[in-house]
Amino acid sequence: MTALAPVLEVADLRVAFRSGIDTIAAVDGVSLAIRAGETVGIVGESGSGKSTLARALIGLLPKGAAAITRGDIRANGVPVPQTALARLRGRVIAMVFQDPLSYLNPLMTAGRQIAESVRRHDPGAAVTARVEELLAAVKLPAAARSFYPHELSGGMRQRVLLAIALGCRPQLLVADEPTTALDATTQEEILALIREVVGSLGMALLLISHDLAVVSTMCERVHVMYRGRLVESGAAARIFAAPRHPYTRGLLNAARAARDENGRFVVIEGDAGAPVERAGCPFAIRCDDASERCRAEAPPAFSVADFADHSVHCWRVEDRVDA
Amino acid sequence: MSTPEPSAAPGPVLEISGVSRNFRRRGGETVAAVRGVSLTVNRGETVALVGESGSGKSTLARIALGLLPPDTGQVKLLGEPLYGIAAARLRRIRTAMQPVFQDSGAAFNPRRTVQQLLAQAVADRSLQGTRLQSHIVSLLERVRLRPGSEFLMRFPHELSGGQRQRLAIARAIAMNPILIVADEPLSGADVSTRGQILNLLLDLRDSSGVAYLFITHDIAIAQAFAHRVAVMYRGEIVEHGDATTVIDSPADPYTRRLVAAIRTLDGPATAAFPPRLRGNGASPSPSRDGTTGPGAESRLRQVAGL
Amino acid sequence: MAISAGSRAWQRLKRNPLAWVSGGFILLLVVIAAIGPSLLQDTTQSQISNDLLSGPSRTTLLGTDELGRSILTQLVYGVRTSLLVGVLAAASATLFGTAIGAIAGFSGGAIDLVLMRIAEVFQVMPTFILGAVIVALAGPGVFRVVVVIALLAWPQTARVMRGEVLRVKSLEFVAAVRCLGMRESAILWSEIVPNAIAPVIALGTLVIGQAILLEAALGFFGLTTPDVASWGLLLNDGQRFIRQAWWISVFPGLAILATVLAFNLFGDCIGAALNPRAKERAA
Repeated sequence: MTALAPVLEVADLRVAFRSGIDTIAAVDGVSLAIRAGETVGIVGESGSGKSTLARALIGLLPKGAAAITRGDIRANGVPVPQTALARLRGRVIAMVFQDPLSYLNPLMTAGRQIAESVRRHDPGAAVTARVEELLAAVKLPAAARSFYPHELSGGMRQRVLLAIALGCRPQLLVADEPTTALDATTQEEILALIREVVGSLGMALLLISHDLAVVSTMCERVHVMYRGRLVESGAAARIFAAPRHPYTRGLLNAARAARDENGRFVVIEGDAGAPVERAGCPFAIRCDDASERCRAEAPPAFSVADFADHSVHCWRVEDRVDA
Repeated sequence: MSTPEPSAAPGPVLEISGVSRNFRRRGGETVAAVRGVSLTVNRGETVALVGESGSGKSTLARIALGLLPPDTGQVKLLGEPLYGIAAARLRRIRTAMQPVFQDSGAAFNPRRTVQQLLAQAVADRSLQGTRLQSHIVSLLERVRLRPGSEFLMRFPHELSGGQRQRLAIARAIAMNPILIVADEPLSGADVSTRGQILNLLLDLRDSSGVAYLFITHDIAIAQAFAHRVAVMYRGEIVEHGDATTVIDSPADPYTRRLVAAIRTLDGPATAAFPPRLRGNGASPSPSRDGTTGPGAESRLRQVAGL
Repeated sequence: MAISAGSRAWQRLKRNPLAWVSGGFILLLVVIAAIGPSLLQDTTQSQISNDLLSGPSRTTLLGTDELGRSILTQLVYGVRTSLLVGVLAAASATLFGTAIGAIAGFSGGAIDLVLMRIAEVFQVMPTFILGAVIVALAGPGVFRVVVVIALLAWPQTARVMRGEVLRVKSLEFVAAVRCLGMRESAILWSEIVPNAIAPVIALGTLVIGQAILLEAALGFFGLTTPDVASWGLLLNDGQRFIRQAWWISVFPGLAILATVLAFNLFGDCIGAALNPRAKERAA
C-alpha cells in the first residue's frame, strides 16, 4: 500500500438526470479509487450508469439535464469541485470513446488533431516530433497523419483517438467501450495495444465495458454496476473465479453461455425494468434469493473475510454464513 | 445435450444459388457486396451465417428475404423462385419466411400499438374483434411477454430492448413461417437478455420445427445454436459445414482467425478459470451459483465504506 | 401507460409559450374573420362617412380612406380574404406536393427523376411574375389567386416529402411489412406517409404565410378583384396618399406583418414539437 494518494478517488457519488419533473439517479452512491498504474474495470449493462459515471468524472455530463448531486471526487488527494472537473482533462485524465468517428473532427487530418492535443496539454513539446512518436506508439505508420478520419478504418480511427489521448500525457486513461463498435478481429488488436501502452507508460486504466471477457483480460480490479449502484468489487481474478453477488454470477453464466440440463442457457429472468427510484436492492426483483429485507433496504458494502478488498452489496451473502 | 437434429421430412426450405450483387458507390466505383453465394437451409435446420462488417451478410439477408433483387442467381423458397415473378404471386408465397431484425428502434412503425402491429402480422385473416385480440394475447404469451393483455396498448418505444426483440419474434411467428431469417437479432441486446432470447428461439424450434437462417458476427453464438455454419468474407462463403466441425477444426484461415478471436474469460496471468463450455454437454452443467474457486467459506464483515 | 407520438408532440406544443401567443393570434384572426364583418355591420364604421381621409381618432378609429370608408372595416373584411386564400392555397399545395413527393420518393428511378424535374420547373419560375401574368391573362379572381399560389408552392412541399419518404422507406419496419405480404401502395400510404408527414405539416404553416404575402402583393399591383376587400388592395390604395394619409398603408402593412409572423412562428413551434431534441438520456 503506497503512501501516494490515488490518482482518482470517488466517494458516494450520485448523478441525477432530470426528465421533465422527475429526477432519475443514473449513478447512486458509487465509491471507488484508482491508484497509479492500476488497471480497473467497470462492468455493467445498459442502464447500469457506467458511462454516466465516466462522463461525470471528467465533467462531460450534458449541462442542464444531468448533474452530480452528491459525493466527492478527488484527484491525487486534492478535492475537485464539480465546476473544476474539466481541468482534470489532459494531464490527469484522458478519455477514449466507443465510436471514434463521432469523436474525431471530420474536417481535420489525424495529424492535426493529435498535434492539437499535444499543443494544448503538453506545452513546450516539439509538436511534429511528438506527433510522430505518438503515431508510432499506437502502431500507425507516420503517413497516417495526413489522412482524414473517414479515410481510415474503424481500428485505425480508434488508434488515432488513443494517440490524441496519449498526447496529453495523462495519469489515467479512461476507455469507455473502446472496442464495442469494432470487428472481433480488430478488437483483439486494439485491446492488446491499450494493454501495452498503458503498461509501458505506467498509466492507470479505467476500462468500462459490458463485455466481461474484455474486462477479465485487461483489468486487475473490477467493479460490477447494476442500475447505478455498485454490486461487487474486487480483484478481477477472484471475482471471475468466485463471484459472490447473484447478478455477477448471472453475468458470468451468460458470458460463458452456460447451459442447464435441458440445453437451455442459464439466464437472469426478467429485465432491468423502467428507471424509477426503488427502495431496497436494485436487483431484488430479478433475484432468486431475494428476501423481504432485500426489497426494503438497500444493502451496504460487506467485505468478504480474508479478502479485505473484495466487497459485495448483498444481504443474502451475509445470511448464508450466519454464524 | 446436443443440438437436436432437424425432424420431419427433410428438404430445402430456402435455396440461394449463385447470387451476386454489386453496388455503385458515390465515387462511381462498383463494390461487389455479394459474389456467387450459394446456400441452402433445410426444413427444421438452423444455419448460421457468420461474418464481420463489410462481409456482405446483411446484403445477403435482404436478398434471401426477397427484398433486394440480385444481379445474378436466384432464391427459391419451398421450391418457388422469389425474383422475376409477378408481384401478387411474390406477396403470397413470401409469408412462409419471416424476418427478425436487430433491435434498432426502427423495427416497428412507431405510430402503431403492439396490438395493431401484431394484427397486421396474424396469418389467419378471418380473425376479428375479440377472437383476434385473444389470439394476439396468446402470441405475446408465447414469447413470454406476460401478461399479454398488458402489452396490447403499449407502443414499441415504451418497451425495453429485450421486450422489443420478443415482440419482433412474435411478429415473425404470427405468420406460422417455415423459416425465420434473423439478422443480428442479439446485437443490440444486453448480455443478460441474449440468453433469454436464444432460449426463446430454441423453444420455438422445438415446438414448431421452424428453420433459422441466423446471421451474426459472433461465431460463438453460431456454435451454441446452429446445426451448420457458413462463414462469409468479402462477399464470398469461405467455409461451410457442420457447426462443431467448422469451429473445432476450421479449414479456412479467416475462419481460424474468427475462432481464435473468441474471447474467453481466461485472464492473462493469475487465476485458473473454468474451461469455456464447448458445444452442449461436453462439460458438466455448471452449478447455478457459478462458484468454482477456493472452497473456504468466507465470513462477512460489514465495513464502513470501502 | 400508452402515450402516442402524436399526443407527446401535443404536450410539447402546449408547453411552449410562443405557441400560445402565435396560436392565440391566429385564433383571434379566425374569430374576426367569422364574426367580425357581421359585428361591424351595424356600427358607424360600416357607413361611408363624410370624413374623407381623416386620421385615426376616437370616431374614425383607424382612419378613413379617400372615399370615407373606414380602414378598420376594410381590414376586418380583409382578414377573411387573407385567411381564405392563405389556407386554401397552402392546403392545395400541401396535398398536391405531398402526393407528388411521396410517389417520387417511393418509386425512385425514372418516375422520381421526371417528377422532380417538373417540380424544379415550377420552383424556378419567378413567383410574382408568374402570378401577375396568369392573373393578367385570365383576369382577376380570388380563386385564381389561390390556384396560382398553389402552383408555385407545391414544389417545396414535394421536395420535403420526398426527402422524408426516402429516409423512412429504408427503415426496417417497412421491410418487415413487405415480408408480411403487404401491397406496395398500402405500404406507401399507410406505413410510410404518416411517418414522413411531420415536417410537411410544419412547412404548411409557412406556406400560409407565403400565400398571404403573395396575395397582398398581387393586390398591391391591382391584380386582384377590386370588389373583394383585401389588405393588398388597401396598400395599393394607400400608395397615392402615403404622405397625407399614412394610415391607409401602415395599418394593413402591420396586419400583414403580424399575420405572417404569427403563422411562421406557429409553424416553428409545430416543427419543434414534432422533433424534440433528446435532452434526457440516462446512460
